[in-house]
Amino acid sequence: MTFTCRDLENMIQALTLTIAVHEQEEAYFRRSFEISTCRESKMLLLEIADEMRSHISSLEEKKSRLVSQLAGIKQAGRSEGDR
Amino acid sequence: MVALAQDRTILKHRTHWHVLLVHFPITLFFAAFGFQILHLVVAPACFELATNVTLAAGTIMMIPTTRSGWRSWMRDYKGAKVMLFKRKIAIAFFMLGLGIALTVWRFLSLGIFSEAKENPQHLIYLAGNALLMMGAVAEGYYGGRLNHR
Repeated sequence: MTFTCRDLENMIQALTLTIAVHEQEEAYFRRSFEISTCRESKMLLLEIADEMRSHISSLEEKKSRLVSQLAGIKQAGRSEGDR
Repeated sequence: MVALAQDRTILKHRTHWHVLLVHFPITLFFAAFGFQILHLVVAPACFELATNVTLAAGTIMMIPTTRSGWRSWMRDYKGAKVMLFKRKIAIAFFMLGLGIALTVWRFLSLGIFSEAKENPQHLIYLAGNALLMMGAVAEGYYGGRLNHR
């Protein structure tokens, strides 16, 4: 593993922001879906929102992995320090 | 499939108050600094008054701008504790504090309409205005990084 704490923190911060921005986009499509009355548009808006949710879930999974790795590195560092 | 006449596609946008408000203090602090430079170079007293007015207006506008920024951070970004927001928040509160202190100090010590030319306090005023302008640049830089990557 070549990730350092700094690399991981940077990646986690980038993912956190990206997820937040995508969530706003998703919310925009869901809002539009809810108030639109054109059936074709509603279907498309919902489809886009669902695809975004799926993408966000994938990003959250990646972030979660990085958070675990970071916790592992920090824990290893603490154990090293205790010895 | 053909949509019925009453069927509509409505794209529901939200009003982003912070994005709307943030341009006011940035512009006003830039103007305050510019007027101050003009006053020092060209000398007419009206530029000093213009500095005072734009500084006060920028400081007043910092209040709703900071508040809307905080609300946007909490609501849209779920209070994400990332470096970008930490810097933006720290700079915003620094600018708010400095703006209030500088405005109050300027009005109390030199008055609203009096000219401070040849007064050593003028340099403090200039430095304060320069810091506010730099703060506005930093806020714009970090704000841009948030949405334009």
